[in-house]
Amino acid sequence: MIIKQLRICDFLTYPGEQVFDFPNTDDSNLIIVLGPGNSGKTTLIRALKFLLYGKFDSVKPGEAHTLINNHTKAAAKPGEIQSGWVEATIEHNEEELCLRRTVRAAMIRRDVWAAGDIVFEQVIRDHRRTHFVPDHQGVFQNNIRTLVPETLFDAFYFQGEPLDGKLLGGVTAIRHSLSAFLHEDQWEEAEQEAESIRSGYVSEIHRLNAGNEKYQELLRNQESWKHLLKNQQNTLANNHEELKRVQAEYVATKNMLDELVKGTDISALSRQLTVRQHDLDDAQGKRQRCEEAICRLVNESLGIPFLLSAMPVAARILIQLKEQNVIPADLSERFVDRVIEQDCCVCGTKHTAQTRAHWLKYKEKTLSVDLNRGLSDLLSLTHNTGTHSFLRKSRDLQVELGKFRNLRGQHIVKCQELQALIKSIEDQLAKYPVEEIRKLGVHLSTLSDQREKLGRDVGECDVSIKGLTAKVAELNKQVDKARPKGAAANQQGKLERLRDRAEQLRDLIAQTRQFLHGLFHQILKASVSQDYDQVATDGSKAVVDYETLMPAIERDGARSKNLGGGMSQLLALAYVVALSKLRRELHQQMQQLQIGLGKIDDQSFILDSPFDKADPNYSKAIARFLLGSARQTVISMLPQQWNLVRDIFEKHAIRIYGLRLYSPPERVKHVNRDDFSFPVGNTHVDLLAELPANETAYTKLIIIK
Amino acid sequence: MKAITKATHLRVDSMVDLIQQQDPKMQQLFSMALNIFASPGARKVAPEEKQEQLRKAIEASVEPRS
Repeated sequence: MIIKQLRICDFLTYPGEQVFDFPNTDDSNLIIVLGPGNSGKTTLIRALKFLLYGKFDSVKPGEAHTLINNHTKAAAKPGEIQSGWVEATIEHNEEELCLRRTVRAAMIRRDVWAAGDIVFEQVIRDHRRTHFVPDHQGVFQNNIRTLVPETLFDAFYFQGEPLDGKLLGGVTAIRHSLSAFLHEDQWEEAEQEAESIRSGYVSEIHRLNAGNEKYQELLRNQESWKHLLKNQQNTLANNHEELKRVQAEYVATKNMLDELVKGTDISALSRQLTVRQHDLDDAQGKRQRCEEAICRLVNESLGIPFLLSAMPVAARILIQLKEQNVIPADLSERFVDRVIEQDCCVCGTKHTAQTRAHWLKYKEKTLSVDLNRGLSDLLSLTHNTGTHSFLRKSRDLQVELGKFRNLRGQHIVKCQELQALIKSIEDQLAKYPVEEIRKLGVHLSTLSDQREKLGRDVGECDVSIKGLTAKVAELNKQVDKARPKGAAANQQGKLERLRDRAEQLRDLIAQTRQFLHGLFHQILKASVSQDYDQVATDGSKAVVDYETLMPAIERDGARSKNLGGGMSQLLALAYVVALSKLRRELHQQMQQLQIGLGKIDDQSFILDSPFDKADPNYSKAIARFLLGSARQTVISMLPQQWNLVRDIFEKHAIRIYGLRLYSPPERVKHVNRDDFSFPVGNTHVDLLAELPANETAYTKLIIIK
Repeated sequence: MKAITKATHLRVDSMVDLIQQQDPKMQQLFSMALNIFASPGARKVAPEEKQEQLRKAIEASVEPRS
């Protein structure tokens, strides 16, 4: 059904008669309605609902007169009857039908109106006059409700509105409409009835052979083995279906993974990272062991390394003291003073307050003759030439320490190299959504396991079916042999043929149902993905649930039906169009098979601000998608939305309407004029006009293009 | 009916293939069964009547060709 013309007269914000022509050609069927906020865009949809079903959500029973335009009512006198109406010329099956719904009410006194009544009529216009045929029998009303069920209309336009755009509610409703179109539940009924008839024939066969126990026994066996075979065949079919689904999901996941890594072997990089991290741990361990060895050597050296490193400085100081004829008795004290004066300690490190404090403590507390002697020995040691064990041990220790220090140095360098390498690998990996890739990798591995298991199950089922088929064939032979002779045999044979036929029908219906379900899933998935995935900017993908055939958006492994920014609107539209195409195709196929599934209707989109809350990318995607996706597309929108999609829509629109808001000055002065200005062609169309003070606001339709 | 402007890429040909693998009488029986149970007016017909129609259709489908 498409709407060729919509007329609104004295209805809500629309005073007088205003005519929306919705032209439709092979080249273009896009109608744009531009309107600022509160100009009556949503009222158009509500007026359509009033026309189609006689309902207006915000109007309470007994207040129908509130639907009549306020200007019209203001001009009325007590006792007068005023009316407002909505009329549409619709095209269905290449025939036109004009329907009008009128609300009439009488004014009792100023501002008091009678409840009013509502009339639904067919309008017939000829060149002389207009005839009205009231729909007393509800024939037209019934036709309308069949063409566009009210629940579908409500779901599509109103239920999804508070969530995200105005299309989400429609998805479930459209899915249900396909289900109703196919009479899915009745297919199941047909299958059950075929089985019931088959059981009836089986009972009759048993009754016929009540006296023949051996034959009865064979028949029971035959029935029970056939039942087993049937179950196994069902299991095999389910496994095949599941395998197909898993395989498809495996391929899709693999493709997603390939797409994410774009030729880079992420798993190789990850493996490399793991190996390098292991190498680093190893090098750090070795370095640590070198440190420990050095510590151990130092600890076991009884201070030799300290003395060893102190030796050159100590020797220098002692030589100086000797040259100055310092006597051994106060040698230590002077030695300590000299040490403290130096920038560095005798060990070669820079002095700190702490080291100086230690030396002073040493001078005060431990200075003794023995130590003086010790220092004299130290002095002589510096001149000794290698016979003393202290020096030998020092040399050995130095060699050993040197070895570990070298090794430690090598490991430090290696650690630094590995850390640089690891950082470089991590930098490379940071360019990819590693977490998503990891999840996909895990999912892929699960799918691979499932695939293997299902493959094994299918193989086992095949073997089992071969065995069962052989058994059933053997029983068939035995039944043939034991079958009664003569007239009874004829009746028996006929009943068996009927039983087999009913069984064949039952199986064919079951197979077809299953086949169609799988096919729907495949087609919907492919179609929705084609329209959604390429546009999604965040890597999300459209998915269709295998069981419910309902769409969802998958992002980072999580599914959601309701995402913001226009994604859900795009998904919903893509799904609705895919279902419509599927329905059309299926209808044609069924016609070939001489199966009548009801009539197929033209798809018509009448959308109220579909870009509401959508970001620019999705708005443009939705706009491109809408072009040519339906037989008729009528879209209303605000200036901001028009600016986003103007470059796509303007050249394709066959007609552009504007809803000009006439508003009193006290309201006009508070508004932003940009919200009322629409660029079209080379000009700006101003859709706000100022009324004299205290006048009531109203909307007038203008043709812009 | 005018065609919509976007090409349709959907194919459900295999559905027909599946049915056409059956013998002609079975194809006819399948169509009749769906027309009895899954056509627009089917819900208005009593279940017993539909079962009887299906039984007759099954019986007709095993009758030798006249």
